[in-house]
Formats: sequence, C-alpha cells, structure tokens
Amino acid sequence: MRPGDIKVTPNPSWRWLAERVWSVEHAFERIKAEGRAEEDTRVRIFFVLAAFSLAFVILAFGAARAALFSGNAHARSGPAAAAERADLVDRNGLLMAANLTHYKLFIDPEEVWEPAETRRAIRRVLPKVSADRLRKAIQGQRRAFIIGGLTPQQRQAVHDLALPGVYFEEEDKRAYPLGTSAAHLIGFVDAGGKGLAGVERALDADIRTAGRDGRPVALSIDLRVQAALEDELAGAARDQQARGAVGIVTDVRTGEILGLASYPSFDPGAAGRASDDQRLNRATQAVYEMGSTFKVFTLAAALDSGAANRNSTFDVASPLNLGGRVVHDHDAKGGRVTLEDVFIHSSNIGTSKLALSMGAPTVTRYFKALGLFAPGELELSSAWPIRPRKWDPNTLASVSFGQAISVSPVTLAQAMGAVLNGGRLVPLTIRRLEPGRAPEGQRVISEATSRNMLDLMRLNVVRGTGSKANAAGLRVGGKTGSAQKVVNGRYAQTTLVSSFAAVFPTDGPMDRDRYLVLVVLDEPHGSAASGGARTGGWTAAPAAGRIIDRIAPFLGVRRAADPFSTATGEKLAVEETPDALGEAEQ
Amino acid sequence: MTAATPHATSYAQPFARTDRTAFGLWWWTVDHWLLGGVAALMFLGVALSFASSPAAAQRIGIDNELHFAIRMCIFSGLGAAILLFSSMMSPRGVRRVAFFTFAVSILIMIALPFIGHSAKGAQRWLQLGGFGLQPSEFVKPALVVLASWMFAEGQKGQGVPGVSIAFFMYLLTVGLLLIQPDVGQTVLTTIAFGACFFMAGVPLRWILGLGVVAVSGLVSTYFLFDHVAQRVQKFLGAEAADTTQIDRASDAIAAGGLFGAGPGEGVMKRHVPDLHTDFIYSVGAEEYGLLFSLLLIGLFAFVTVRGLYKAMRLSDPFEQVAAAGLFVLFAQQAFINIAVNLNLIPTKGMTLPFISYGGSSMLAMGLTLGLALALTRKRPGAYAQTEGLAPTRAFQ
Repeated sequence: MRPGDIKVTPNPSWRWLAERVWSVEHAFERIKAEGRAEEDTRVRIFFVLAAFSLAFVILAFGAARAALFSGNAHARSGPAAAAERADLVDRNGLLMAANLTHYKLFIDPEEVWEPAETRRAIRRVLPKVSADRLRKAIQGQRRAFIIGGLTPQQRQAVHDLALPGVYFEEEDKRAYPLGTSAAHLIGFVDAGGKGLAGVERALDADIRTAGRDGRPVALSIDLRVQAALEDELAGAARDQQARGAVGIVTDVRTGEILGLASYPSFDPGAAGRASDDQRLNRATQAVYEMGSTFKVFTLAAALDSGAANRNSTFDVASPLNLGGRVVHDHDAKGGRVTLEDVFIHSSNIGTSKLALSMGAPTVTRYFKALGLFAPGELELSSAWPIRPRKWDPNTLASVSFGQAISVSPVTLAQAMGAVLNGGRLVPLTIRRLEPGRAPEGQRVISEATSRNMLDLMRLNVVRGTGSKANAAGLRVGGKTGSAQKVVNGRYAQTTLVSSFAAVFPTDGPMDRDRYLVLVVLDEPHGSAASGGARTGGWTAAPAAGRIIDRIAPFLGVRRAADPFSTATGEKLAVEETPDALGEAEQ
Repeated sequence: MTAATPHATSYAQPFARTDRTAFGLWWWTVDHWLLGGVAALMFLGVALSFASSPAAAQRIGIDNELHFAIRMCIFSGLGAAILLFSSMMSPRGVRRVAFFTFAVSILIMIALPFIGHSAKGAQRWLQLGGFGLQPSEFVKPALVVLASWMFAEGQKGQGVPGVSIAFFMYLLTVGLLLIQPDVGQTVLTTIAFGACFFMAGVPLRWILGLGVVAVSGLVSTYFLFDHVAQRVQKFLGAEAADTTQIDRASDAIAAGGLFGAGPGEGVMKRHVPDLHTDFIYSVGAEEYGLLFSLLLIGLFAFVTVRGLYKAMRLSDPFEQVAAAGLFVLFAQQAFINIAVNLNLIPTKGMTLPFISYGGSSMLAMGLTLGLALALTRKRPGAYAQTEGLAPTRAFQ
C-alpha cells in the first residue's frame, strides 16, 4: 500500500473506487516489470506498423480497382459545366428545355492592333453588334463587353478573323428545342436565367436545385399527346377563326396534366417578340363563363345529394320565368322529360329547376367542394374564378348552366376530374408522379354518382348533343358547352365560348386511368365544316373526338366493342357489361 | 545560422555539421526522409488547391477564383512554420506544448456552445477574424502526447496513477466532442488513444474488454446520431439514401483512369460540394489518374511506415508511444479519407492531411508531425541499438 491511497475520504464507495484505480495501475505497472515479449512496446508498434502497411496496400488496390475496373471507365463524370437550370423533360424523358453554352464577346482595347480593321471585321461576321458600342470599346481603356448569346459557330467565325484582343466567356442560355410547342406550359426565362412564366417560373427553385445536381426535371406532359392536342386545337381554331382556344388533357385518376395548349402560341426562345395576346396562357390565366359543361356539376350535385335520380322527371314545356328573367331551351323538347333527357338535350329549364329545388346552400356547397370557387393547387399560377356575390334564384339558375360564373379552363378540368374519377378532388399537377404516388384526393361525391355521370356523359355522345365527339371504339363520353359572352353589358346571342369536356374510356372499374379532354374555343365564327354553327357540339366536340382518336394509342387505351352503340342508343348500364366484351379488340 | 562559405566549383552544405545554432542542430538531427515526405505532401496540397479552388469559389459565389488557393498557400506556410518550430522541441518541450495545447483546446471546447460558430448542424468552430478555428483538431495530438506520457509514468511505479489520468483526459475530450456533436473526431480520438494504450503495453485480455466497449460505443452512435445512421445506410445501399457525393467521386475516379483526364480537365470538381476538403482525392484522381493516386498513397504510406519504424527504435517508452501515436493519428486520417473516396467505408467528413483545404486541419497536422519529428530526432541515447527487434538498417 502506498501512502497516497489511504488518506482518501471515509466514504466507502470512494474507497472502493480508489482501490479499483490502484489495482488497475498496479497491474499495468507489473506488465512492464515482467517484460514479456508480446507486451513489449516495440513488438506492439511493429504490429501497428504492419497493420497500417496492410491498410495502405489495400488502399492502393482499391484505388486501382476504382480507377481501372469500375465498369464505367469511359464515362465522363458529368457535363462540362453544371448547368444553372436543369433540363425540362416530358414524362418519357424527351427534352423540352435545356441550358446550352453560349459565349459573351469582350474586347481588350490595349491589345487591339488595327482599330478600323477590327471594327469592320467584327461587324462583318456579327452584323448584330452595335457599331457605336464597338467603337467605344475599342477607343476605351479597359476590357469591355460587346455582345452575348453567341453560338459556337459565331465564336468560331470571330476566331477565324485572327484578331488580337478578342476574348470570349461562357454563359448559359436557355434553349427550347420544341419551338412553339407547349410554349405556355414551359414558359420562359429572362437573360439572367430567372423563370418568368410557366413551369420555368412555377418550379424555378426546383429547376435550379436539379440543375446543381445534374438531373432533369420531369413534367407530367406526354409530348405525343401534346403534339396531337396542339395540332387539332390549332386546326379547329383556324377553321372557326376563333380569337383563342384552349386544350387540356388530364389523367383524372392522378391529376397529371398530359397536354396543355393555348392558341395562339409563341416561341419561348424569343418571348420578347410575342404579343401579350400570344403569351397569355388561356388555360390558366383567362376565365370564361363555361356554359352547359357546368350542367355536369349541377347534375352531379343533384344525384349525390339525393335531390333527384336518373328517372326524375321535369316539366320543360314552357320557359322558366324568374322575376323578369326568362330561361329558354335552345333545343326545346317540350313536355315532361327525364333527368337523362335534361342532360343529353342540355335543357337549361330542367337544370335550372333542379338547382332551384336543391337550393343555393346545397349547390354552393358542392361547387365549393369541386374547387370551382378557388384557383386550385396547380403549380402554374391560375386565375381566381369570378363568382356571383349573391345567390338569388335568378343567379342560381344561371350558375346551374354555367353562366354568371367564370372559371379558368384548368379549374373546370380539375372539377371535371373529380366528377369522373370516382368522386375525389385530385389537385392537377404538371409534375410527373411516380407510379403509385398519386394523391388520394378529397372525396366530393360518391362513387355511385361518379358512375352515373360517366354513363350520362357516354349517353350524351351516343345520342345527345355530343355525338360529334365519338371516336370509334373508345367509349367517349362528354358534355357540350356554348356560353354567351357579355358584349357591351349584355349577353350576345352569337358571341360564344364553345367548349366540350370529353372523357374516355367511360367503362371499366372506377379506379382505372381515365382521360379528360377539354376543348374551349373563344368566339368561333362558324365554318363550312360546322355547317355554319358556332355551338360546342358542332365546333369543339369534333375537335375533341379527333384528339381522342389520335392520343388513345399513346395512352394505352384499346379500342373495344362498345355496349352503348346499339341501334337505338338505349341505355345499358355500363357496370353490367362483361369485361370480356369491353376488352375485345375491334 | 551561418552559411558555410560557398566554393566556386563544388556544392556546399548550407550548414556545416559543426553548426551549433538551433537551426543547424535541428537540420542535422531531424529525419530527412520524414521531412521530405511531408514537404512533398504539402507541395501536392498547394498544387491541387489551384485545381480545385476556381470550381469551389464559383460554387459558393466568391468572385476571386483563387480565393481558396491563396488561403491554402497561407495555411501551408503557417503549417510548415508550426511544424518547424514544434520539431525543434526537446521531449520535455513536446510535453509542455502538448499540455498547453490540451488545456487551451479543452477550455475553448467547453466555451464553444456559448461563443462557437455553428456550421452544417454542429458547433465546432471558433470564428477568429475570417478564419474558423476548430479546437478539436488540436486536442488530438495533445491528448496523444499527454496520454503516452501518463502511461509511461504509470509504468515507472512511482505512484503516478497514469492510466486513470490518461482515461480521465480521454473521457473529457470525447465528452466535449460528443456535445458538439462531432462523431468523426470522436472515432479518430478513440482509435489514436486506443493505439497508444495498446502500444504502451496493455495486457491482451484487457484489450478484449476495451474492444467490446469501443464497438458498442460505435454501434450506439448509429442509433444516437441521425446523420451517422444515414451515412451507414447510404453505404449499405439503402434505397432512399442520397449518394450524390460518393457517386460523383466514383465517377470522377473512373473517368481519370490510369493517366488522368489532364490538368484542369476534371469536371467532377464542378459538381461535388466539399470537393476542396473531403473529396480532394477524387479531384486529383480525375485529373492526374491512377499514377498520381498511387504516388499520393505511397507518400502517406512512406511517412507512416518510416515514422512508426523510427518510433519503434526509440529507447524511452514515452517517446516511443507518443511518436507512434502521432503517426497513427496522421495515418488513420489519410486512410479513412482515401477509403471514403474509394467507397470502401461509409462517408465520413474527414480531411486528407496536408492535402485538403482547411486551416485548422493544416495547422493541427503541422503540429502533429512537428511533435512527431521532434520526438524522433537523433539525440544521444535516443535510439537503442541492441534492445528489442534487431535493427535491419533498411531505412538508414
């Protein structure tokens, strides 16, 4: 025992600890004294030395393996410079927007030999350069910027002049290889690479982040669908000499936008040269009174709330007088008709009566749930709907067939999706969703109501106002709309917004992928092809049918025997059709 | 120091062997092989910083492209100065420097939660006029020297409870590191401390017990610290883990191949955050190829092996263990950094000694190797010729 460890405190636990400490110390001390070979410091250090030698040999082998045998020996480790903005690609990875390296030209006057010759030569190969700026730069004291956005060819042309004092710096420039295609959706950026419109603006932060990581940003768009949509939309708009037009294709189950077109279009690579009218994205930033397509929502609300069923009847014999306002039908049938007839003949009187029987609170509750009173969650900024301030019977009747309320086409498309996908309001998105990542959505109407609406829309195409939208074997359903526009404070009889909201296929299980095709024509003028008519059934519906005919193959919808296409067009409930029939190839 | 008279035709040594000034004495006693190895590493570090600096500066938006390269030159100069001065110490001086460094570092680490600068989710930095100082870098060599001293004192049997004091210092250091939290430095400190204890001659059956404690400590960091768990999962290839950095590093090394893409031709440096610190190896491997990588690994291996060999042949137990422990500190950091770059072990942010950009690590490494060089200098009686393993003279 040492003197040091006895005079510790009387506390037994301290004493125990002190004894432990000393026993350890003594054991450690003894080892040295015993001097066994395997506990000798030299042997131990040699052991450590050997271990590290082995470790470094392993590193050398690891380095050789990583450098020579990693399997991607010829792979470059990435693009030459990390792009500031990521590529935009469609859902299948096709390029929609990319950053390309361009060049900025500088001149250092101290190194210029022949100012006059330099000026002439640069102006010869780059006519766009301002002569004034060039002169000032050459007479100046220090290196000056001349022009940006030069292509590699232009840079080479300047190099070929072999002028001293000419310098280039790299800069990123946004390129849109599709030209005018999907222009409104993609949007554009300013010279500094900041998103100003469309996806470029809506997903600006994401695009920058992805650019730093060197991966593209995938959009929900399918370029094949987009191309067919734009082609048919422009065709219909030109044929009808329309002021503008909108086409939207969505997957109603997932909310993904597969195609979005606004006519007229512009080149996002030269957005500055386009007019405001061309740059206006009518799908998101314009609001329209949509007309009879709103009957889909009114009927859905009526069926879902129990205010009516498919066999309810309505007296549409005489116009509906609402205190100074008279509601007429365009296509008067007269007498008592069923709910189906109200829908497929687009009876304003019948729909008004239905809405009045439900009352304003019920109608507004459903319309609000369908997202018709707000812009929605779409990433692209979209316009607020213009909705009535007070809900008197007159207004309620108007709203029931889509007048007195203005919404943007995307808002309409989102609400249509909720009616047609089994009753869930799924927010529209322009991002590609991974399979199985579709949002659940908010339940708005029951699945049974949704099924009924699909049937009604199909019926409307089979033997109602939407017959021109039929596409062989694709079980198309839809609803027309022909809203009168307000001109000089009055609804004008012949100035219309004609639309068609189509859905296909209408059969199959409720949770299958189903596609909405919305076509809106702003002020169609009638043409030989439409027999002079301007209404949705004659202008927008045929376009929707042609679009469906073209895009169905891309979306994997097979043509099949169609249970509704009977000679009489008689109703045969879709849910009762055997699947075998539905899947038979035509 | 007085320069020898130059002769007209033949080269003359800058100092004569009889030069008795401090510098002359140092020059003739320090190990030239080790000094040369370290100098070569420092040179490579500065050279590589010129490759990585423009990309790193651009990434964080600094206008001056050579921002990091210039600072790296300053750090290397300061590191070299610290190395020079600390390697002039006597063993007694080494202990004094270590004690002083340890005390100051521990005090700063205690104060860090109140005055520290928080970066990337941890409080490790003391901001000193534009430079971030990381006291945990300096506490490692100091702890190694002091612990080795305590082990040696304990074994003398003169009543010094060396093991207890050493473990107390170790637990104090590790406790403060885990508060920050800095799991990486904790692991480094633990390995170096364990190596010292091992080399000091701890019985084999104790090693078994302490090994169990160390392993369970390592496992518990996995559960206690989220980022550690993430990195391990990343290494094991878990689906959700983000492996951008290490994937880019692997691509860059592969792109470099045998001869490299060429100076300035590397592109990975534009993609990888922390390229100038933790992933500098990959930047070098991409531009200069496998031959360069092998040279770098070879240099680290040479300094390690030569240093441990010199330590082995010292005669004083304290000097043996302390010198060897300091070389272990150097070697393990080099090994872990390169192994991370080669994707051999999970990602651990760790600097490559003398090569990575970073003030604290450069100065601390200068101190580490300076102290090691001081201990391995030739002194009367420092090296035993007859005891232990027979000297092979392979390195002399």
